[in-house]
Amino acid sequence: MRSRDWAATAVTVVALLWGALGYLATRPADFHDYRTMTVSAAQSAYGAIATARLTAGARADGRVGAPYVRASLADARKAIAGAAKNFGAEGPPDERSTTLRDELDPLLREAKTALDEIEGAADGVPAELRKAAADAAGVAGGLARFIAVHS
Amino acid sequence: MLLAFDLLDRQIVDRDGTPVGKVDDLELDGPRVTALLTGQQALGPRLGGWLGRWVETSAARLDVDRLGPRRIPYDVVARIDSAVHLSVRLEILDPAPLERWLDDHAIGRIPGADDDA
Amino acid sequence: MKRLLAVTLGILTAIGGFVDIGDIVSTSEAGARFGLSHAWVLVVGVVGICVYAEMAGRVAAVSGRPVFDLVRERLGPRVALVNLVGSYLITVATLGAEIGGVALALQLLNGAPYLVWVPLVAVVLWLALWRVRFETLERVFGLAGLALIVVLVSAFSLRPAFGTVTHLTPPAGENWPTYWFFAIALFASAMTPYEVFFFSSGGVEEHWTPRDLNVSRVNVFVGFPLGGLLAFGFLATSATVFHPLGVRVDTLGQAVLPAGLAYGQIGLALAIVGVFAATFGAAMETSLSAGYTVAQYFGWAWGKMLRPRRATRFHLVVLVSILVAVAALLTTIDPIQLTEYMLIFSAIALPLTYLPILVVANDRGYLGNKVNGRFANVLGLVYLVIVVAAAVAAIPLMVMTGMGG
Repeated sequence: MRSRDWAATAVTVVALLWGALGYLATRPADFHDYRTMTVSAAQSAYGAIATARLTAGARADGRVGAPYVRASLADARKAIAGAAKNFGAEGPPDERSTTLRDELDPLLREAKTALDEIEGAADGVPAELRKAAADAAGVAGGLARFIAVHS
Repeated sequence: MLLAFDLLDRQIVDRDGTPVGKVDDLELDGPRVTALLTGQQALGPRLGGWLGRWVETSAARLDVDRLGPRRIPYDVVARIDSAVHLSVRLEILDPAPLERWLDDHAIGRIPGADDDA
Repeated sequence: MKRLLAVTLGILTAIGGFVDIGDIVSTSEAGARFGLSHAWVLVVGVVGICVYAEMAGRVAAVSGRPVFDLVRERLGPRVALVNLVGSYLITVATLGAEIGGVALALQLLNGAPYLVWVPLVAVVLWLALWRVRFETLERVFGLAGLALIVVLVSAFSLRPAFGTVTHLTPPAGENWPTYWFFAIALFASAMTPYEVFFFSSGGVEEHWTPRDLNVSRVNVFVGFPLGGLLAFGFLATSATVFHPLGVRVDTLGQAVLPAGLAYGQIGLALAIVGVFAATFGAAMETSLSAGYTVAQYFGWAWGKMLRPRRATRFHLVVLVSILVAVAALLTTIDPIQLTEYMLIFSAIALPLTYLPILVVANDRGYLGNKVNGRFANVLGLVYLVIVVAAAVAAIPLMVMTGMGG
C-alpha cells in the first residue's frame, strides 16, 4: 500500500512539473524574453571583442605567441557567430522588441567587421594590430552601453 | 545469524592478499555457513527487484558451463577481521568467468599485460 | 632523509594535483563576473576537502583498504550501488571534461583544432595508465602542475584590489541567485568526489601503513590548501583583468591570458603547460578513480600495483570509461560547458560521497583507536550539512539562473 502511495505521488509531481515546463516552453515569446536574448547576444559579442582587443594589444607588445592568438581569435569568432545566430533565429514579437533589434543589429555587424580587421592584422606588424584594436574600441563601447541600458 | 550479518559484503582476500571478491551471499546448512558465494549471480538476488534480476540473468548468460554462483567452501577461510582471509591462493578457487574471459581474449592480449607496472 | 624526501615529493605532487579543469573554469568565470567576492567560498571548500581527505587517507593508512571499498560493507549493497552509480557517472563526466581541458591546452600551444587532440590525448592517457608506474605519473604531473604558480604570481603583479575580498555582495549587474549559483559551483569544484576516492586508493597503491599517517596528513594539509591557492590565482587574475571590463570568461584562452599580460610569452607558456599538466593529471586520476570505485564495489582485484593480467576487469572499466568520455566529447559538446554541468551535478552527488566516509571513519572495526576524534566529527558533520544544503539548492538555482547565464 505504501509503495502505491509513493508511486501515485511521484506520478502527480512529475505530471505537474511536465505541465509547468510545457507551459513555459510554449508561452509566446514576449518583450522580456526577447530583451534577455538580445542582452545575452550583446554580452557574448562584447566579451569576444574585448578579449580580442586585449589579445591584439598583447600580441603587438610581443607578450603572446602566434598559436595562442590564432586559438584565441578563433574562440572570439565562434562567440560572435553564436551571438549572431541566436539573434537572427528569433523575430521581434512587438514594437519595443523591433527597436531593440534595430539597435543591436548594426552593433553585431560592426563587431564582426572589427574582429575581421583584428584577425587580418594578427600576422602583421604591431602597428597594424594596435590600429585594429583601437578601431574596435567604438563597437566595444557601443555594445557595453547596450548591455548597461537594457540589463 | 549474527555471523551472517558480519560476513556479508565483506571483502574476501586470498592467502597473498589478492582480492577474490565480496561475500555476496552465503550458502547455509541450517545455522551453519557451508560456503561463501561471490559474483554477480550471487549478488543479484540480494539486490532485489528488477535490477537484481537483470544482474543475475546477465551473469548467468556469461556462465557458459552452468556452474552457478562462484562458490568458496567455508573450510578454506583462515580468519576474519576487516576482511575474510582465505588459507589458499586465488588459483585454487573457481575462476571468475568475466575476469578469465578478459584475460584470455581481451585485456590479457594487450602487450604489456604481464608487466609489473 | 628518505622519509623527508618522500614527504616533500608528496607535497609537491599534491600541489600540482589538486587543481583541475573544474577549478580553473569555475574560478575564472567567478572572478570575471563577481571579482573577488567568492574568495571565501574557496576557503570553505578547501577546509572541507581537507577534513574529508584526512579521513580518507587515515582509513587507507590504518586499515589498508580504501574508503570506497568499505562503503558497501557498512551501508549494504543497495545503498552502495546508488553511491557507485552516482559517483561513477559524475567521475566519467569529469574525465570527459579533463580530457577536453588537455585538448584545449594543446590547442593553445599549437593551434591545431581542439577536436583533433581529443583522441590523441585519450590514447596517450590510456598508454600512460597501462605502462607507467603510479609514482612516476604522480610526480611528473604533480611537479609540472606547479607551473600554475605563474598564474598566482601574475595575480599579485597585476595589482588587484585585494580589499574587495570582503565585498560579499554581488556587483552591479549581477543578482543573488547567480552569486549563489557560482558559489555552489566553486564549492563543488573544491570537493569533487573523485578526489577523495582517488586519494584513498592512491594511499593503498603506495602501500601506506599506520606509520604513514603523517605522510597522508602532510599531503592533505599542505597540498590541498596550496592547490586552493593555485585556483585562487585564476580567480584573482580574472577579477583583475576581466571584471573591470565587464567581460565574461568562458574560454581557456581567456583564463590564461593574464599570465601573458603579466609575464609575456614565458608566463603564458608556463600557464598553459601548468593547465596541461593539471588537467592531464586529473584525467589520470578520474579514469583510475572510475576503475577503483567499480572494482571496489564488486570486490575485484584493482590497482596499478598489480600486473594488468591479474586485474583485467579493473583495466576494462578504466578503458571503457575513457572511451565513453571521448565519445561524449566527440559529440562536439563544448568542454567548458561540460565542466559547468558536471560541477553542478557533482554538487548534487556530494552527500552521497561524503556521508559514507564519515560513517566509515568512525568505525573502530577498521580504524581501531584511530577513529575520528570529536573535532573531526564536528567538522565532518558541519560540512555534511553544508554539502546537503548545496545539493538541495543546486537544481533550483540552476533553473532560476539558467546555468548562471
